[in-house]
Amino acid sequence: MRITRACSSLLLAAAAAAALSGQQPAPEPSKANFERHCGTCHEPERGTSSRRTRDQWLQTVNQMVARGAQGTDDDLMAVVEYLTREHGRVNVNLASAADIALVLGLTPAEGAAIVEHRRQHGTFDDAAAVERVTGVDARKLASRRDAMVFGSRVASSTGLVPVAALTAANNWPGVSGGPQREGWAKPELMMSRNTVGAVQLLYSRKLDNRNRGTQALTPPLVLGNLISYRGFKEMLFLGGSADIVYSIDAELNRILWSTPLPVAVSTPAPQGNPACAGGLMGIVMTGSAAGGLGGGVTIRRPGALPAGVLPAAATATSQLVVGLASGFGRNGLVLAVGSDGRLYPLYQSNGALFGKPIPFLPPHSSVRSVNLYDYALHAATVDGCGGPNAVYALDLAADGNAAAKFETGDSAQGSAGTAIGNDGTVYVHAGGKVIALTPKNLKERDHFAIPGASGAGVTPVVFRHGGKELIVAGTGDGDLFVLDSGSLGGTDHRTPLARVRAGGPLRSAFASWEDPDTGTRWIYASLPNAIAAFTLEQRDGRPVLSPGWVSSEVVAPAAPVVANGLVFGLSTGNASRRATLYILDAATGKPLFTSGDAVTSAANPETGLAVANGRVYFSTIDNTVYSFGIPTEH
Amino acid sequence: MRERLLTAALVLSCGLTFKAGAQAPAKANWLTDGADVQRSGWQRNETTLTPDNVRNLKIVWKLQLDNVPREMHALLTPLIVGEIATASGPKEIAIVAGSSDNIYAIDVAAGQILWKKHFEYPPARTSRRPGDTLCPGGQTATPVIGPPDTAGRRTIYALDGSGALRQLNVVDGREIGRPVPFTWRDGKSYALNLFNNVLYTTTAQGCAGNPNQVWAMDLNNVELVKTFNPGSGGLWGRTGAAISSDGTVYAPTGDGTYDPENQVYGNGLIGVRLEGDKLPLKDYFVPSNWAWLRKRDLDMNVTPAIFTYKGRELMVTSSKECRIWLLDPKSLGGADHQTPLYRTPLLCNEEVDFAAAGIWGSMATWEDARGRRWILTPIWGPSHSEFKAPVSHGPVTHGAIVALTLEEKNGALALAPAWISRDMDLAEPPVVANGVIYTYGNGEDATQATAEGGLNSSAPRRIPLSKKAVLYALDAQTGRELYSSGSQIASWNHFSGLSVANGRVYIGTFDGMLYCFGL
Repeated sequence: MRITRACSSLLLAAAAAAALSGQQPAPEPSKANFERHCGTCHEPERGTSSRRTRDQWLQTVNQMVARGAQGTDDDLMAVVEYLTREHGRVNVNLASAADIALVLGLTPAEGAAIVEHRRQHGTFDDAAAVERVTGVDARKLASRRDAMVFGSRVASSTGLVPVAALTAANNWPGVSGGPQREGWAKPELMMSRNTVGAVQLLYSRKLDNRNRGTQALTPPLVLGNLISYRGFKEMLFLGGSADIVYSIDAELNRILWSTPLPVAVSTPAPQGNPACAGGLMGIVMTGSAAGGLGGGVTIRRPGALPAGVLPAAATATSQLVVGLASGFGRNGLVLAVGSDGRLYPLYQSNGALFGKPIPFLPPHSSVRSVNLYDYALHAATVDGCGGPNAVYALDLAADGNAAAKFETGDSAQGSAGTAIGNDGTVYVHAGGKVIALTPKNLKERDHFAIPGASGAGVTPVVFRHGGKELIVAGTGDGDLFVLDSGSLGGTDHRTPLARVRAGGPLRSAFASWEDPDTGTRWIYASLPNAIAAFTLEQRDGRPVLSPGWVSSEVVAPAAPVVANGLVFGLSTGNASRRATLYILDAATGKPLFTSGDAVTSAANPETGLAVANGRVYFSTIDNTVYSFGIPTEH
Repeated sequence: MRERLLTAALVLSCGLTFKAGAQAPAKANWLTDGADVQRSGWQRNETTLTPDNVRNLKIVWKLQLDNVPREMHALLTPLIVGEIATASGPKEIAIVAGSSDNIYAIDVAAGQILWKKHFEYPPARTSRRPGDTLCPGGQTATPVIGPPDTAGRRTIYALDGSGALRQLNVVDGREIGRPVPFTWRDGKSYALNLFNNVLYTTTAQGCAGNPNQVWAMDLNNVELVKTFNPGSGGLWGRTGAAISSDGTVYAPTGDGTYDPENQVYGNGLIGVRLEGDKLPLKDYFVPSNWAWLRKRDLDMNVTPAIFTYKGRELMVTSSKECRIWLLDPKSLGGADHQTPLYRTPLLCNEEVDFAAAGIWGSMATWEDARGRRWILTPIWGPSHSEFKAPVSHGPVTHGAIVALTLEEKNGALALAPAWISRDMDLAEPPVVANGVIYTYGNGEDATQATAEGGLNSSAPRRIPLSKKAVLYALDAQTGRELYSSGSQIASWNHFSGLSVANGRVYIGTFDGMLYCFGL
C-alpha cells in the first residue's frame, strides 16, 4: 500500500498513540471492521449488493471518505480488503496470484498456478478455462464464477489499452519524478512498447519568459488532476528564469495562469560569471491532489482544511503546512524559489501567492533543482553564485522557517541536486564524496569517499532493492557505485557494495526501474553522447552491477526517464543541433521513436523530462514547451 | 399514449358531470416530471397561454409552504392534475413535494392548500454528513400521479426519505396501503416514472451507501424490486429515466469508468427493460471521448428526451460537455456503441468546467404545426465561441436556451441550430406549450470549488451566494423573449423544475414559496 506523505505522518502518530495506549494498531480485514466503519452512515450491507473490483471498492471507499467516513488509512484499507475478498471481482487475465486467490477463495498456490498457466498459455476466455488449470480445485470456483472477469482493455485511438490508462491522472511532482530522483514514471500505462508507434508531437507553446544567461525554463512538473474552481484540470507548471511561474492545461495547451514573482533583491547580481546569471531558482509542487480517476492505490482524503476559504494573507507556518497537506479535491501549492532566494508558495489553482514569501536561499544563488520531502524544502547551490556552495533545508512545519545549511565546498553534482531517502536522509554528491545528511537539520550522518574522484558526477538515485535502500552514485570519471544507505561505503567510507565502469563520463541524473516481468533492476545514465543502461542483480547475496546496453548517439542527453518498458532520452543538442526526443526499448536500447526535426531549438543540458498520463514534456532554451505523446479524443 | 387517452376520457366524462361548475374544465395535466414518460417537456394540451398573450403573465398567487429545505433542496417540480372530484366540487390540484418529506395539495384556482401529508418513518440509526449538497437525504424524487381508476380516483406515488413508496389519494392525501420498501434510506433518487403500472427511479451520488442504479417496482407485485446497476457512475438525469414505446428505460450514467467487458458502463447512457423478474441491460451508448468526459468530470447527466419523427422513434441526450447526441433507440450507438446518428459541436463549456457549465438536467422536444421537430436544451455558462445560431438575442455569459431542428439531408439526420435565447442565470430545463417556451434562470450558486480551497460544494457556502430565479417565456420559433418575471421571484432553487397547465406556470423556490403565474 502506498500512502501519501501526509497520511504517513498521521499513521505514525496513530501508531504511536496506539502503542502508548496499548490498543491493537493493526486492523483486520474483517466484517466487524467493515461494519464499524461503514455502519455509522448506512446499513453496511447496502453497499455490497454487487461485486466490484479492488479498484472499484477503493473508489467507493474514497467516495465515502469524501462524504465524511472516518478511520485511519489502515482501517479503511482493511475495509477495502474485506470488500474485495468477500464481494470482489477479479480480472483473472490481469491480476496477481495473490489477488486471484483472495477474491476466488483459493490458496496462494492455486492463485500462482492460474498466473503460471496464463503466462504459459495466454489469457483465459471463460470460467471453465480457469477451472481446468492443473492444481486448482474447480469446486472452489463454482461459487465464485460471478467474481471472475476476463476483459482487460478497451479500444482507443491506438488500439486496445488498459482502461486505467485512459483515465490516469498521475503526477510528476518534481525533477526526475520525485525526491528519490528515480526518474521512473511508475504509473504510466498509456505509452508502452505496443503503443509507442502512435507517439507524436501533440503541441508546443512558446512562453514569454526572458532568458538569464543559458537559463530559460525549469523542467515541467505535471499535476494529474486538480479539482479547481475552473474545472478538473491536468496542469503543467514551469518556472521561468525571469521570475515567472506558468501553468498550462496539459491536455488542451492553454495557459491557465502565469504569476510574476514579486522578487525583492537589494543587492545586484554578481557580474562576470556566466554561471551566475541569476533568475528563478526552481519549482516543486505538492503532489497529493486528486490522483488517478480510474482507481489508485491509496485512500484519498478530502483534506485537512475546513470548508470555506483560507485566510487571504496567511503567514503562519502551520497554514503553509495545511496548504501542503492537500488531499482529494484539495488545492495544493507550487513552491517557487525566486531569484531573491525567497520561497513563494503559490496556489496550484490560480497562481496566487499563499501567504508571504519565506527567506530560504541567498539571493542570486544558482540551484540545480529544489526538492520537497516530508514538509521540508531542499536545495543545493552551485558555482558559488550567491555565496559558498551548500545544501539548504527549510522545515516548513517548524516555527520560524529558518533554513538549515550544510556547506559542501564544491558544487553539488548532477542536474537534480539532492536525492532524499525514504527516511528523509538527504544525499548529495559534492567534493568527491556522496554525503548523507540528517533530515531537516542537515548534519553529516555518513559519507562515501569516491575513490580517485575528480569531483564531477551525477545526482545520486535512491531506491529499494533486495530488502535494502540503495544509492547509486556516478562520476565524471565513468564509475558507478552502489551504496547501502545504512552504511555508505562501510567502515572506511570507501567500500561500495558494487562498482562498474560506465564507458564514459557520467552526467546529469539517473533513472532506475524494476522490470515487473523479470524482476531486474535497471539503471540508466547519461554519457556525453549516449544513454547507457546497467543491471543490478543479486549474486551470492551481494549486488552486482553489470553493463546492459549503450544507445546510439544522443547528444548531451538530459537525465533519462523510464516508464512502462520505455526509456525517454532528450538529446539537448548544442549550438548547431536542435534538441531531439528519443524513446528507447528499456531492455535493449533499441530506438522506438525519434522526434526528428519537430523540435526547433536546443535545450539546456541540465534540463529534464517529465512523463505522465501518456505524454512526455520538456522545454528548450527558446522558452518553448513541447508535449509528445499519444493523442486522445477530447 | 394510453395515459392521454384515459385522461381525455376522464375529462370528457367529468366535463359532462361538472360542466356547470364555476371553472372551465382543465384539459391539461402535468402528471410526471418532464411532462410524460418520454420526458419531452412538451405540454401538448395548453390552449390558454399563447405567444400573443403570454406577455401579460403575472403572479396569480404565491403560497408559502412550510417545507424545511434540506441542504439546497426544497420544492420539487409541481404536478398538476385536473378534474379531481372533491367534496366541494371538481378541482384542479397541484401536488408539490418538499424535500423534508412533505406532500402538499393545492387548489390552483384558489391558491390554497387542500391538504398536506408529512411522511413519518423511524429515525435513522446512522448519521448523514451535514452540509452535503449532493446527498441531502429526505425526499428527492418528484412523485408521479397515476391514471384514474375505474372510479376516477388517482393515486400519487411518492418516495420518502426512508426509501419507501408511499401511495396517496389525490383527493385528500389519505395513504393507500402501507409504505413499501423501494430504494434505501437517504439515497438520492430522481423523478419517478410510471409505465405499464411499473414505477421506475434512478439513484446517484452513492448517498448513504446506496448503489447507483435503475430501480423498478411492478405495482402488481410491490414486494419484488428489480434493479440494474451499471457498475459505475450516478444516474442523475434530473427527471430520472425516460421510457420508449417498447418499455425500455433509458438513463444517463454520470461519470465513471467505461469497461464493458467487465460490465461497467460509466459515462454513458443505458437502456434496460423489464423481463419477468429481471431488469436486464438491453443496449448502451458511450461517447467515443468518454475518457475525456471522465477525466474532466463532464458527466452524462441529462435525462434523454424521446420522440417520434416520421414514424421512427429517436432520442436526444447530452452532458456537461455541452453537446447533443441524437440516438436511435433501436441501436444506441450502433455496433460499437459509440456511434450516434449525429452529434453536435460544442454549444458551451469552452472552459471545460465541471460545475456551473454545460448542460444539466433534461431537455425538451416538440413538433410544430409544419411538422418540424425541435430540440431544446438549457446551457449553463457562456456559449461556445465557435457556436453560432442563425438567431441570437445578445451575448450569453451565464446560460441560455438553445433550440435546434431535426434536419434530413441525403438520408442522414442532423441537428441544426435554430436560435439561442437571451442570457439567463443558469437556464433550467425548458417546457414548451402552445408555441411558447418556458424556462427560468435558477439563480443558485452552482460552484463546487473555490480558488483557494479546492473542491467545496457544501450547502452552507453556496446558499448565501445564491440569488433569485427569473421566469422567462420565449417565442418557440425564434427564441425572442416574450416575458420575464424580473425581480418578482424572491428566492432561487436547485434541482427543481417548471410545470405548465391550463394557463398557469408553476415554480417553487428554496424558501418554500410556490408561485403560480397566469393571465
